[in-house]
Amino acid sequence: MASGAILARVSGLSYRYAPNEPIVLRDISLTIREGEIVVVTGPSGSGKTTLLSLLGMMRRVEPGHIRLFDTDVGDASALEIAALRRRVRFVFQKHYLLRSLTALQNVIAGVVANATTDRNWNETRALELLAAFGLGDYASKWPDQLSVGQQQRVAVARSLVGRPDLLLADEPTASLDRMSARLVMDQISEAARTMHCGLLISTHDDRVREVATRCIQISDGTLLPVSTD
Amino acid sequence: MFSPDLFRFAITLSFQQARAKVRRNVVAFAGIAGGIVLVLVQLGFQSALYESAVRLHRILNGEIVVVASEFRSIQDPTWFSREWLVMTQAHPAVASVAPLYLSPVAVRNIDDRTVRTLLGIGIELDEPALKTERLDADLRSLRVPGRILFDRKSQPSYGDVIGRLQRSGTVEMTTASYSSPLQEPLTVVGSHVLGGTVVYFGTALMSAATLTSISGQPLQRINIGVVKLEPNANAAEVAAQLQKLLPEGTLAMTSRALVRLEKQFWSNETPIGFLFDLGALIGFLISGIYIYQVLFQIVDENLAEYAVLKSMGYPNSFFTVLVVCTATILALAAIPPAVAVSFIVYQICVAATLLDLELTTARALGVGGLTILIATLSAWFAKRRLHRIDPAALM
Repeated sequence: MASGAILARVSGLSYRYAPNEPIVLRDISLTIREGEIVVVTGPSGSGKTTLLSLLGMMRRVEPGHIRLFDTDVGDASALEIAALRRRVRFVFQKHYLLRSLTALQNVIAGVVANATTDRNWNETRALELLAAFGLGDYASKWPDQLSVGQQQRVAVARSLVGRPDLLLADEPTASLDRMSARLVMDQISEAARTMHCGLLISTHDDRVREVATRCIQISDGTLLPVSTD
Repeated sequence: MFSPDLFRFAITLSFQQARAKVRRNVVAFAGIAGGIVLVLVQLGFQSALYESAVRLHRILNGEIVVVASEFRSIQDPTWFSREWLVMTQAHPAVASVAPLYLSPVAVRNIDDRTVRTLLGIGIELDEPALKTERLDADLRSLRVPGRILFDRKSQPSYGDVIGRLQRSGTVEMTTASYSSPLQEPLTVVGSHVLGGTVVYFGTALMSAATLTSISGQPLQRINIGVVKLEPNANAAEVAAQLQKLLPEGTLAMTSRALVRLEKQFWSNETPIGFLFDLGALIGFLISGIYIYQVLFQIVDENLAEYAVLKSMGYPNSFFTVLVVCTATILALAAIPPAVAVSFIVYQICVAATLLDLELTTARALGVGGLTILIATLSAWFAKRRLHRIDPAALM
């Protein structure tokens, strides 16, 4: 089935938040390829979000290995981590928009750290994305002038504007109405198709599963079924 | 690594965050501006004090002065023998010499008869020790003993002398003493422009003979000897040579050195200089503390947003630049209103004291520059909060 290049390879990954705390992830192995949409489901507290945060280099990997774009995250320096992060984007449950920036500026913020882009391109691309998310008329609005659904759509646009290689989404449709959720999932699927971006989406939403190329489940920190890619 | 776009974005974000914060917390912004006002006012007062103290020094009609070795300030006149001044004429570079007599003169307010003290300045009318053109004074009428010119920039504590002079042509004043009923009449026959100091609220220009007669100081005892040099003479070199000629107990120095000596007196030997320095320092500290407080709040309120940026690969240096830019923008925004308020305060003080209080561009720029430096220091301290940026906290 999937045949694109491997973007992320997780092997033997376990995690606990503190030495005395119970284990959250147990011996996880997983591969994400270009263009793949991997949907991870599981009950609350099963470790889905922890897995995303480890892949997003927000927590230290130990024990186990995560290789992103052929770089072992555990061995990477702070500069290498920053460079890797520029190829990975998150969609959080909360939008976390910068309140003092307009919707357009927030979207552009998603690409400014990528030194190779140019300013005009950034703005054009950001405006296109806002229009695609039905927010073309809201580019100059401040976050507090937008509804929760609109804010989340801006956040998704921000995560896509830099054409990431890997997109990690934590319950991206949790706070959205049906129409907004549809728009978001369409755009995310489109990103996987046209940009060959790999996606890992944690969700409880059945609508998200419809766009998945592969579904996995986590239960008590263990991956079921384990990917054999 | 740190691209121009990233820098531009840091400026945009810091500007908008600072603007939003200032709108929500006007008091903190007023604190920053208030600190700058305090600094400008303190430095203005200090400069006005020093400048008022050396106004007389700046119009001495010579490049070199001779004073008694214990001289510290004209506020506390010292004297030496006139013969020693005459001795300097033996030097080939000396063109002429002139004595200057200074003495506090107690006079009665012409309206309410209260006793006030002004600085009496006595000059030889044929060889004035002062550049009289700078005083806008007509010396001819001073040849008659007991006649004086009154300072148009004196404070009103002597009564409406100038107003009455303009109406009547002359004004009768009397000297006064707290301890003696004796008094001498003085006739104000004209005016000059010099200005008072913080010690003497006004001056009176008169002949050396008039001043010595009311002060009791012999004409042989002069307070400052003013030496005019031949063209192209080197004042510093001649002063050093005159010092060797003069007996112990006298000092020869350039007029500029006398200005420095007077300023040193006010700066080092009176509490006034220290108090103004302290006031300016407190002003900077107030600005710095308020800037730090605002920065601290901005960083604290936006930690989650910064964590999102960090999760997107923004380098740590970006956040440092962001905080420094925010601090600089806060300082830059506070400077114009602070300068405007200071200007008004200066005008009020000038009207009340007639001191030479002037808000110069150099002072405004200097204080602005130092405020930005203080803001950068505040940013350095506030930067410590940035270690709390943790993208994992977003999950």
